[in-house]
Amino acid sequence: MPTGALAPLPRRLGPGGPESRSPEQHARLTADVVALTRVAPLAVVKVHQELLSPYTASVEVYRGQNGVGLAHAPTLTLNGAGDFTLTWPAYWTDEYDVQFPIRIRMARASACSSFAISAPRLPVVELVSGRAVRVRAFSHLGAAIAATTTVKVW
Amino acid sequence: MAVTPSGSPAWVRTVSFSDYGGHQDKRDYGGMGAINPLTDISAAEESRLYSDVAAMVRTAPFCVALIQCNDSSPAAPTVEVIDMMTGVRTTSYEGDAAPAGFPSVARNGDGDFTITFDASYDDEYSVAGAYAPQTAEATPNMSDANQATCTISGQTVVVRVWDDAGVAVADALVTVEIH
Repeated sequence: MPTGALAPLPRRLGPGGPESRSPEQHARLTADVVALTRVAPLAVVKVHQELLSPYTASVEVYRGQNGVGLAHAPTLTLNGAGDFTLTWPAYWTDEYDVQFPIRIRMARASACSSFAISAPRLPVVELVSGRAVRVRAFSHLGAAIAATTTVKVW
Repeated sequence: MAVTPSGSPAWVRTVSFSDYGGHQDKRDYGGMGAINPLTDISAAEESRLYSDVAAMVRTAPFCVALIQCNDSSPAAPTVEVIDMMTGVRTTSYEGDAAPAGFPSVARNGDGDFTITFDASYDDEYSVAGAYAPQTAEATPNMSDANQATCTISGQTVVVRVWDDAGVAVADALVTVEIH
């Protein structure tokens, strides 16, 4: 079966094996890609926060559908100890210049802490808008407390 | 005649890159390779696609849901949004009236509910894949000092939301991520 330059796109399915992709393999690929698309998070963000006043915070890691690295990260606004807001732009643009509106509907957060159980960091996430989430971390006594936090949004 | 996909649906987690056509000896026909990047896809490019999709299938959640407890006027929790490998629903439903293919949610008490999944789900080609929840995590989508815990038993996930004094939180809003 000619492929590559002899049979350019649209790609042709074949018997599988070393030189082609079979209909059965293509079907599994498309079904699994759709499944992944449905549950893939928009972004995973790690925000580092200093433990002492003025509780300086910064985005340490950003992995988003819009890109990996700080250049693609949302705007970080510090509200206080263990309290910050992440705001994404209204749209992101993919590799083909197609724009997608950002609409965050769900969010999770976990504290990254080595502290003893006497001072756990328990983060909650408030869905502020379709493109902003506010994260607050608390001690086991319910007091606001600085924390490095990983946030995941869908 | 409908095609039957190779392998099992993503949530069975038995994926192999070969299910998608990956092969460690994948090669361009005649060793020619892609000549025009605007019209050709090379074996090397496709091989990357297969491995990356398999990697994502291994770690992706099966279900992410935003669930609103209804405790002031006790009723089944409301599933506000739910993303599953098998389908996405952006319009809410009451937990005791789940649409086909989506989990039911039963109220146990204040900030306490049980999500129940089917033991098998079909993919787009009507291939069934067994499913049972393996891990679950939850985060309150609130502003107070609350936390959520999850326990798994068989096809069910129980989520409880607590305040800092260990008291159940009424009318909690929580995002649950289940693998």
